[in-house]
Amino acid sequence: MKKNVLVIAGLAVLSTSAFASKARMEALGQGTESFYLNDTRSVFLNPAALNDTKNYIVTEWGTGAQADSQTAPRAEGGYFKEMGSFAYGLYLGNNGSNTGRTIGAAQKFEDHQNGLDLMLAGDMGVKWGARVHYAHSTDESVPAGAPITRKNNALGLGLGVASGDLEAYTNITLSDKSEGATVAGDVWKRKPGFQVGASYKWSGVTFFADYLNTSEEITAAAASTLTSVINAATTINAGTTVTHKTSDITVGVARVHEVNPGARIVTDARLVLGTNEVGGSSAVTGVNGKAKSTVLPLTLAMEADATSWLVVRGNVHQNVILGEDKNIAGQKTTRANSTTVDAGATLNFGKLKVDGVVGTTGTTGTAASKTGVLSTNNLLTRVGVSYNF
Amino acid sequence: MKKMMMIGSALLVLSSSAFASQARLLALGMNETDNEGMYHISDSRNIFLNVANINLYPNQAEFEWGNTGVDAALTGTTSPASATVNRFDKPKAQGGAFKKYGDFVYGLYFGNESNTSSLLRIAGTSAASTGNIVGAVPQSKMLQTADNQVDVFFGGDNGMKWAVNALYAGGKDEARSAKNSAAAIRGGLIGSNWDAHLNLSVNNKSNATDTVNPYLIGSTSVSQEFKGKLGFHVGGSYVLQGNNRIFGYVKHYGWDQTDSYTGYGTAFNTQAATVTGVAGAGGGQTGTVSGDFTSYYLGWGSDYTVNNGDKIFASLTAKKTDINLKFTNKSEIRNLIIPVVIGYEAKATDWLTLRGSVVQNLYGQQDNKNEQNLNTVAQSLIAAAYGANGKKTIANSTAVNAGATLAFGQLSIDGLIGTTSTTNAVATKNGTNTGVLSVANLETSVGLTYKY
Repeated sequence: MKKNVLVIAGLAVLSTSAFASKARMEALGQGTESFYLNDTRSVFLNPAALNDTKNYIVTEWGTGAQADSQTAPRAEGGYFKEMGSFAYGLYLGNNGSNTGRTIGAAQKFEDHQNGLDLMLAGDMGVKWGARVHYAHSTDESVPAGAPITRKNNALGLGLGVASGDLEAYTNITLSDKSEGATVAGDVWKRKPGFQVGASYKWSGVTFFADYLNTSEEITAAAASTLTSVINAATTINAGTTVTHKTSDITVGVARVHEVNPGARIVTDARLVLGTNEVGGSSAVTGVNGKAKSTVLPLTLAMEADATSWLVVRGNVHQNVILGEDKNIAGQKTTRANSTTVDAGATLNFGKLKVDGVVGTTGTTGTAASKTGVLSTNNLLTRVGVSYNF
Repeated sequence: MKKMMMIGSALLVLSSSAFASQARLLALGMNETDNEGMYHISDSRNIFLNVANINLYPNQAEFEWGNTGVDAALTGTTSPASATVNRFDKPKAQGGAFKKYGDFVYGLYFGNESNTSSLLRIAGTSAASTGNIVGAVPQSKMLQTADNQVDVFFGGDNGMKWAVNALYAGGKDEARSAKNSAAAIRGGLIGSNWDAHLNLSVNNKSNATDTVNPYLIGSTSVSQEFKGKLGFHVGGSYVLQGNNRIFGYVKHYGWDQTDSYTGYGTAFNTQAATVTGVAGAGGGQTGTVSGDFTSYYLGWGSDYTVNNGDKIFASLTAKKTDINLKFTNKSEIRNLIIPVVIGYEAKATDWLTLRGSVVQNLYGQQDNKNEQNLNTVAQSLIAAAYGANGKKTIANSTAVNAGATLAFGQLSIDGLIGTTSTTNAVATKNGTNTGVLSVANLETSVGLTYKY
């Protein structure tokens, strides 16, 4: 009981308005970063945002796993500090996408892991920012008896500017290469790819556009055959190469309506045109070719200070009019059950904030069971804690 | 207990009086297939009964937590689910927002697919496609139910409250040659002491052609189609005196279902029972079969204010449901219930409102025939809703429901309480609660409302 009283006493402190977590973004229907909402997560899209969000430590709770999702989050965190007219940041664990690196063998390509992001930003009339991403890992221990060298090296660069109502950014994958899988000569290589985008605020409305592409080559060595590359059906025969290219074009419009100083209604509509192309697979049936998707999701979200110590947020999101995938055979399928409702909360302890997603566990505590349950056993999931100083 | 005290201490904030959720009405005894509202209890959920109610609930956003609902398939899981149903232990995610604009109110709502429509399409699914087995794994190829529904609302108040609502849902899966669409229009009026509504289903189609292996009998191509005829839901209420209100509706849908599979018969039924391990028939009939669903509802309801704002609710209603599927050996569902409902809603504290109800049939009779003609999944759903074959009194109709609202100023979090057992298993329908107040699962079927 004493502990509970202490908890309540601790919560009864006025909050500051900074938010910082994947949980917040997801509860507002934005993915892990938003094209238009102000949040410390924005530095991963546009490093210039560091000028507006600095002097804090953030930790995203999770495991040391490579993959990251709402139900199985990855441990991440960073430190961001103002330094004169500049700001810098150090972030650990942002391992990015692992697309296509998993194969159908016990001994796989080395993951993109232990990511390190360094950021620097400044304001010289025009806000600018830069981010360098680096990751490296090596494993020379398997297979037992005759180990091979498996390694990964990755380098990325992010650049962004913000001036008045206009923001622009680019994030470039300079290199991302994993060598060695079942044998030493297997190679997974991401070619230079980029993301470029911009947003413009006009009369309370934000227009945004983003283009993202990736391109990978996966090569099986002369004495190797790789299976389940990219998807379960993709096979690469010895000495051949599969190419995998993706692209997403997003254009949208959003409005953040401040109902009062402690509450806002967020709406956005975006058109997303995607492609996913595979070429060179030895098992050709249903694999080689270009798949396309066209979706038009609408998001209605709210965020409100319920009390001085509690912020509650949520959204409903659904594809409207457009929402279908076209497979490589040209067959179109509507994305089923696209209606989603997410909820989240922030517990404010003064400069300390505990963000999380709410309502994600079932009655028996099962993760990823959105069955409409407000569980006090799992009060918050995908927790992110930030401390502002 | 500690958790409860912690939450209680933390919620010491004045509440607002708006209520808006399926959970609230379920706790007060609502028993409608589509959870579309109650005539004698004010709640924003009533916009799906009489759309003119949007004039009473402008400037709010609603978020009903959930996911994709119950997957209606032979084993309860298909990927992706093509036929889904909203049920309070597995609610569908849905929500929307409403805004006042001068004398008008408009709104947008996502995901409120009709359960009635879904159940009819499930009933209309080919018995052979329902029994599709891939390898040793059941993989029902159900007709697609309505999905990704968008409701657009517009209304006004010119002395008389009025509103209209158009909805559309549609989708396709060309990999299995499946396609579906649904459209409806709702219109409603609210006068000083009366209200009326007319909700029309103007389009309801679903078809598919799949190669299936029904109960491992052998692969074959099956074409199936569900084609709805004009459906309507017309009703209203009238205030007799004070809060005493009489109300009623007629709900009717007709449809044709077509199935190209030609292997139905004794051998099919025997194989279905062998594969599923469930005694009974696999159902099905080749060709086109007509069906209709009609529900008549008439009742009285009232509420009484006690203790400076708390409410006691009471209602006595009669509801008759007839379902016919004109197989050669006609399937019939006949269900007549006269339930009495006594409910309460009390402001326990500034931040907590508790409510509950007890329901029991004064009269309840079923007379069901030939349910074995339906596909296996539909048989199960119909039996759960209306009982198995036979004429008998509906047993153990007494049900107690409870719910709560946690109020944080303009924000309220509604939910059902008492729906999980000591082992945290969740009740699947009214009357199966086990009497547990679980703090771990503080609320279920949560609906969050924010007024702005």
